[in-house]
Amino acid sequence: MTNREKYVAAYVEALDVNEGDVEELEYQSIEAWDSVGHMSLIAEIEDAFDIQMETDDIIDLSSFKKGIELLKKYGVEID
Amino acid sequence: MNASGETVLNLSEEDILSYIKNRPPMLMIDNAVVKPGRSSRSKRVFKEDEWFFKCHFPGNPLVPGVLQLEAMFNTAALAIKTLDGLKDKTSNISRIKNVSFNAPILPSDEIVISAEVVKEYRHGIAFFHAEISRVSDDAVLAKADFVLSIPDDMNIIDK
Repeated sequence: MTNREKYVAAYVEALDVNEGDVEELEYQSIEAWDSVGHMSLIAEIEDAFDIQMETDDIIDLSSFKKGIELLKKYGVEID
Repeated sequence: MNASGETVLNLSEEDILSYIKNRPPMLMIDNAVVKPGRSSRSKRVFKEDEWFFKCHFPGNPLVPGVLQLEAMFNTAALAIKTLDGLKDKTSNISRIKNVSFNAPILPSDEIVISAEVVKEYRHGIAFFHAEISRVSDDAVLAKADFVLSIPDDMNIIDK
């Protein structure tokens, strides 16, 4: 699995969305991405890349695109 | 502790009441064996005079599915509320999926409720798989997957 596939899969699993719908997702843009969905997503991303995110980054991960930017800090490059 | 060095708690109803806020008649478990952060296994015997048998249903008494779920939630909560620092925090059930009720639970049935943590507690949430089985024949009567959350531990974003 590529890093992008893992990243997309985290959204699909945590938020129960289709792969094709993840690119434009933002926090609270869909019902499933509420506070609990957010923490589920963080857990999925941490498991997928074997990382532990800092609190500031957990707060800042406000969209699919923002997450790609934040993950660079953890050595995760997503094409 | 057990032979593997894990902490194992044997909880009476009185102990359970110190960990979770449900009170009879909405406390659906009688006692429990808990491995904090990992699993919980509880028991319940449904007496013939339980309050819900009178109304669910007259002449055909069955344990309501919603109360079966409550028994799973009570059981799961113990696996998390017994972790250090969580005893007095409020827990919620935030997601439920893959629920199935396979067979009725009748007056005098004794059941075992098992709740396993499938994704460890962190960031204020834990993922569970729970099952209810009948003691007399080990038949699995109900199953569910759900997320238990503790809002106080999710306070870095809105609750």
